[in-house]
Amino acid sequence: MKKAIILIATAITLFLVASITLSGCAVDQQSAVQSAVESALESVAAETTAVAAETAAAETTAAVETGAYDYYELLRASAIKNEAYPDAPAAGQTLAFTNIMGGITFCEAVWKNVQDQWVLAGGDPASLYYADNQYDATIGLKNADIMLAKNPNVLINFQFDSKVNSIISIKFGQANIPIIAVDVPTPGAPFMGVNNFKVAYLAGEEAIKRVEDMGGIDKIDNIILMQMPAAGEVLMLRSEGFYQAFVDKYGAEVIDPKTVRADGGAGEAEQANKSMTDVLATIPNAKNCVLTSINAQTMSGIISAIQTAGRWDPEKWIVITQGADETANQQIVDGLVKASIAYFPERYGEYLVPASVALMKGEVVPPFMYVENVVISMDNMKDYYPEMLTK
Amino acid sequence: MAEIKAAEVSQKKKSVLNNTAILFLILVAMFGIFSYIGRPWFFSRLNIIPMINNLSFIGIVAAVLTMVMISGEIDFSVGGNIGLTACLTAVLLERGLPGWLVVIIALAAGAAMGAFNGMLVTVIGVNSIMATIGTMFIWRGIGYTLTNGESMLAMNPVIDFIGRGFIFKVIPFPIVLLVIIFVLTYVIMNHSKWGRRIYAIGANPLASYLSGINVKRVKFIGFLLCGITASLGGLILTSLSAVGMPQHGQGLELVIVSSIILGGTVLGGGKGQILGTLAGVLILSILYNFLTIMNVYYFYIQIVQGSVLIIVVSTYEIGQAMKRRRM
Repeated sequence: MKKAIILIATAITLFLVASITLSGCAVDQQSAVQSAVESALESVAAETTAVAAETAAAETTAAVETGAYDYYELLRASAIKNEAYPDAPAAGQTLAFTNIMGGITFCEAVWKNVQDQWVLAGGDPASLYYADNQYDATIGLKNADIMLAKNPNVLINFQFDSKVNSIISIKFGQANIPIIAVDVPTPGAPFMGVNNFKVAYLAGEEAIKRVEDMGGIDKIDNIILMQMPAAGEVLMLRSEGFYQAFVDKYGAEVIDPKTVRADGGAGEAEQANKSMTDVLATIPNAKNCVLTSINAQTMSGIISAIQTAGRWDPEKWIVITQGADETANQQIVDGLVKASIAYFPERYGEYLVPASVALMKGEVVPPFMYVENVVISMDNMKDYYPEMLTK
Repeated sequence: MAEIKAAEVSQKKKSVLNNTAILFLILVAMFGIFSYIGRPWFFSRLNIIPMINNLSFIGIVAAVLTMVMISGEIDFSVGGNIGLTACLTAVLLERGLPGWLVVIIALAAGAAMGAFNGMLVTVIGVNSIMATIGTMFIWRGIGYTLTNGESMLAMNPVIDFIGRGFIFKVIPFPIVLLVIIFVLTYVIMNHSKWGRRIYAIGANPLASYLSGINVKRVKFIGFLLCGITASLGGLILTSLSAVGMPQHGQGLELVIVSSIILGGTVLGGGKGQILGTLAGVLILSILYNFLTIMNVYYFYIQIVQGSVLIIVVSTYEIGQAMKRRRM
C-alpha cells in the first residue's frame, strides 16, 4: 500500500508540474486575462475575417456591383417598417433559432423580435424551432443536433464559443442547411450582430467625455475592464476597444498604469460580483474610476460589489455598459450607469429574418450585417426608450 | 452474520431489479408516446443516433460512478475531470503530440485524478463529498490555467474518431464505447466476486471489513476507474465539439448523479443497479430531447426534469415504506 501511495503521489506531482509547465506558469489571473487580450488583438483580423471568409471575398464585390442583396434589402425595408413582407415569403418554410441563453433580457428581446418578424414574413409560428443553449457548449452541440434532426431551411446560430461553432458549421454544411451567426462568428456563415471593437470604442469615447467633465485623466485612479476571456477573442474586443479609445486620446504611457483587467466570469452577475470584490482589494485607494463590462447583467454584480465594499459614489465612478437592454436602461435611470451602447436587440429580427428568408429563396445576403449603435444616456432616453422614464 | 448480510444484499438486488424493470417500462412507454407526439422528428435516425451519441460520455461516467456510489462513496469531481481532460488534450495536440499518445496521456491523467481522489478518501479518510468537491475545483482550475480560460481547437484523426468515428461505417464509436462500458460494469457488478464485495461494502462497511474484505482497496479501485472513465468522457466530449475548453463538463456531475439516483442507486450505498443507471441516463436524455423538439422553453424543461427525479425517487421511498410495513 505504501508503494502505491508513493507511486500515486509521484504521478500526481508530475501531472500537476507538467500541467503548470505546459501552461507557461500563467497562474495569475491578471496575466491570464492579459494573455487573452494579446491573443485577441493578434488574432482579431483572422477571427473576424473567418466570419464569412469563403463567401465574403467572392461575394462582396460582385454582389454590391450587381445589386445581389436587393431581395434581402426589399425584405428588410418591410421589416424595419414592421409591415408584412411582400408575398409572405416564409410560408411553408422552417427556421431554427438556438438562443445563447434564455432568461437574459438581451437574448429574450432578440428571440421575441425573431418571432414577430417571422410572422410578418408569413411564417407559421409552429415552423419556427427554438432551443436554449444555456451558455454551455455541450448543450449547444446537443441542440444543434436536435435542430439538424428537424431539418430546418435555415439555422440562426447564437452560440457563445466561436470554435465550437466550427463543428456546428460542418454538420449543417453536410446537410446543406445555411447558417446565420449571431454576435459570435460561425465559420463560413454570414454574420449578424455587433461590431465589438466599434461599440467598445464608442463606449470609451463616451467615458472620455465624462472624464474631461471631471477634470481630466489625471483625476482618474483606475480604468477597470471587466472582461470575458472564456467567450473568445472577438468578445474581448468589447472591452479592448474601450481601452484603445483612451490610449488614442491620452497615450499608452498614461493609460497602461491605470488599467486593470479582470475576468468578469461568463456573463452573469454572480461571478462578476466575486471578481470585482477581488479587484477592489487590489486597488484599495482608488476613488475616481472608469469602469466597463461586457453586459448589463455583469455590471449589476459589479456595482453591487462596489456598494458592498462601501466604495460606491455615483459622482466618482464613471460606469459605461454595453447592450442598452432593459436592465442597462434601468441602471441608467437609477443613476448607477452613465451610459450604455445600444445594440437594439429588439431589432435583431429585422436583420435575421429577412436574411434567413433570402437564404431560403436562394438569394445572397451580405456577409456582415452590423447593427446600428447609439449611446444611450439620460439625455436621450426619452427618444429611444420613453417607457423607461414612466416605470 | 455474513450469510445474513449476503441475503440482505440479494434481497435488495431483487427489489432494485424490480425497480429497474419498472424504469425500463417507463422508458419504453415514454419512447412510444414521444415517437407518436414528436413525429416525424423524434423517432428518426437523424435524431436517435446523435441523441445516444451525445449521452454516451454521460452514460460512460455514470456506469462507473454507480459502482462508486454503491460502495457508499461519491465522486463529484467527474465534471472537473472532463474539463481538465478536454484542456489537456487540446494543449497536447497543439504541442504536436500524436493523437494516440495524447489519448494515453489523457487516460493516465484521468487515472491519476481518480487515484488522488481514492487516496484522499481511503488513506487520509476525507469524506468523499468534500474531497471530490475540492478536487472538482482543482481540476477545473488547472484546466483554466492550461488554456488561459480560452477554448482551443482540438482536431486530430485519432481524437476525431473517438467522438465522431464509425465502426463498419454505421455504428458511432461513442455508442460502441458506451455499450462496452455498460456490459463490463454489469458483468462486474452482477456476476463477479468483486461486484458482490462492492454491494457488501456499501451495505455495511464494518461487517465487510470483519468478513475479510479489503474495503479501502475496493473503494480505491472504484475511484481509479471513475477517474479513467471520466477522462474517456472528456476525450469523447472534446472530439464531439472539436474543442478543448475548461467549461466542458461544468454542471455535468449533477446530471450524472441525478441519472444514477433516478436509476435507483441510493446515496448511502449498498443498493443500485447498472441497468437502472442506464435507464436513468436514457430517461433524462430522452426527456430533454423530446421537450426541445417540441419547442418547450428550457425553464419548463428544468421543471419537468426535476419533477421526474422527485416523483421516481419518492415512488421508491413509498414502495420501500410499504414493504417495511407489510413485514
